[in-house]
Amino acid sequence: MKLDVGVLHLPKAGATAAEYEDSFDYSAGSGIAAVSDGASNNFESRRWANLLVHAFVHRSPTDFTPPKVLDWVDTVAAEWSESIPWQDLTVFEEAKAALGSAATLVGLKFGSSSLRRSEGAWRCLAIGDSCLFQITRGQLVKSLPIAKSADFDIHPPLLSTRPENSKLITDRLITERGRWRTGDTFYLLTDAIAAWFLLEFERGGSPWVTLASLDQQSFASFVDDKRARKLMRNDDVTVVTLSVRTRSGAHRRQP
Amino acid sequence: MQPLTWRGRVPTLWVVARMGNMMASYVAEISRDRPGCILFLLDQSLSMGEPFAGETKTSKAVTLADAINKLLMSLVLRCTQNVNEGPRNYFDIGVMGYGDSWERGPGPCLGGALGGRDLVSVKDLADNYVRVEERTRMVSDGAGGLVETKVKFPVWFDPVAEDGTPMREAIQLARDILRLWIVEHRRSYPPIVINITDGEPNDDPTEAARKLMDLETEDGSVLLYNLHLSGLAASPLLFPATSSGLPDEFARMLFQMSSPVPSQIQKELRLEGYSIESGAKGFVFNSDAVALIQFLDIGTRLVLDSGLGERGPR
Repeated sequence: MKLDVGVLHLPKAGATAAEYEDSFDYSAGSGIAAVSDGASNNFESRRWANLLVHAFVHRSPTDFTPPKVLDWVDTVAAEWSESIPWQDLTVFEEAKAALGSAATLVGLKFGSSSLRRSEGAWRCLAIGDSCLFQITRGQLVKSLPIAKSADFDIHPPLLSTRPENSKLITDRLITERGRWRTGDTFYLLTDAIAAWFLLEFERGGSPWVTLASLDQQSFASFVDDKRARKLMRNDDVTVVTLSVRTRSGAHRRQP
Repeated sequence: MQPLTWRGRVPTLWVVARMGNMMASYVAEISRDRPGCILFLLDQSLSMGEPFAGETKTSKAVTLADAINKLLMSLVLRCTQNVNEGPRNYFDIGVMGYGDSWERGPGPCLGGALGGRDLVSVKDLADNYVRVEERTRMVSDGAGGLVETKVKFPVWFDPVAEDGTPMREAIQLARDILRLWIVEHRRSYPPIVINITDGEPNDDPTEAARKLMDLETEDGSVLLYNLHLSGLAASPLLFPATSSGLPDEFARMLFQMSSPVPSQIQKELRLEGYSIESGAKGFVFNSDAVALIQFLDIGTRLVLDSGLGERGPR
């Protein structure tokens, strides 16, 4: 098994590239990837999203049970707090920073023992509305944590730098296990493009085919068009694609 | 305090434009290119120097100044996102006072370097407060209890209680200011005017209010919300949908000159657990200090949520 990883991303229209507040990280060799969407109305949420995906990929929680995940979030939150130059903040920055930051997270981890095989297990951790979609033999077989386009909401549960806030959403942590086989494709998407993906699927389309055909340049045109036609909310968008191939690099022949 | 219950030929192009507005009003995204505008009109008449019913110390004017200073702080915070970036200019903000009509008339009442300016940006606010006070407040100790802590409280303007209630002139002034603002911001979310008063105006402001609410951007008409501060120990009446339960002509007049709450905001209010009827107006009668703060919070925060399209914990 070999993972091919592709990334497409774009900031919200009207924002600069430096203001892009989604984040992603992956290790193809370790079979792990994560996407996070920093909540814009919080302080230093890009920093928080970056820390979450980096920590997930390089030292993910030992298991995905709520207590372990919350302990893990606390250690990442401590890094966020240590990285803030508290002494240099204005009165407003200080008050905003005291409220903390918040972000979604969707992380996918392939079983380590299965990397040499042609099929195996995966585990996913998701909080909020960044989504995982699994495509097997041209079919959408898994949609986490949201399965319907109508279920996107402007108040998703978020991981917070304030432990007391993260504790409040413990029951909304989604952990799931599944099976992969060579030829599968996994998509990790932030909410605006995930909502488009599900809407397109509900209309009978195969949005994964569209995404697979795009490079960074055509992706920008594609997103601009969907935003202009009100088919996609104006927000940062991120697509991380993980294609499971044989070690020789070819897809397994589909039955 | 009880929990609040929120209960010839017309040119074709003009028709199309109006239909467009009817189909999708109050949905414009608020951005630095298309900022929103919030204008406060504050009654500064002599009676504002009296306390709320059941209170003896703090005057309505002081409570109102605190509430507005706190709201300005929350607007700056909402636009503050990163270290060393400064707040993003998502809004133009004005604070107008009306009282003392025979001497200087309604006018801007921010102090310090912002004195005399009708509208200022969020960055202007962040850079030009008059002073920072240290206040105490109770915050969660993380273990189910409360602990007293000191917070910094920027002040942009101080309470005033003078003579007269020239509300009509204040609304006319708001119209003059916003007419110019709209010329520059045709595609923005419509301006929101929040008028806070504790008594009957010198002159009937109804016609001036109608003209103000006739102003529109491509996204809808100016929203005029009215809040009446009470000196009586009566329950606040919040966001009524009809004037039938209102006690007198003055209350009915304020009801008439209040804009309906946009349907998107009604939806958000219901999601927050308020029972609010369809057709509810942006109007509160007999408000106490608690209802005042809630009104200011929801009157602005829900617009920010929907206009900025940003997500966060509820």
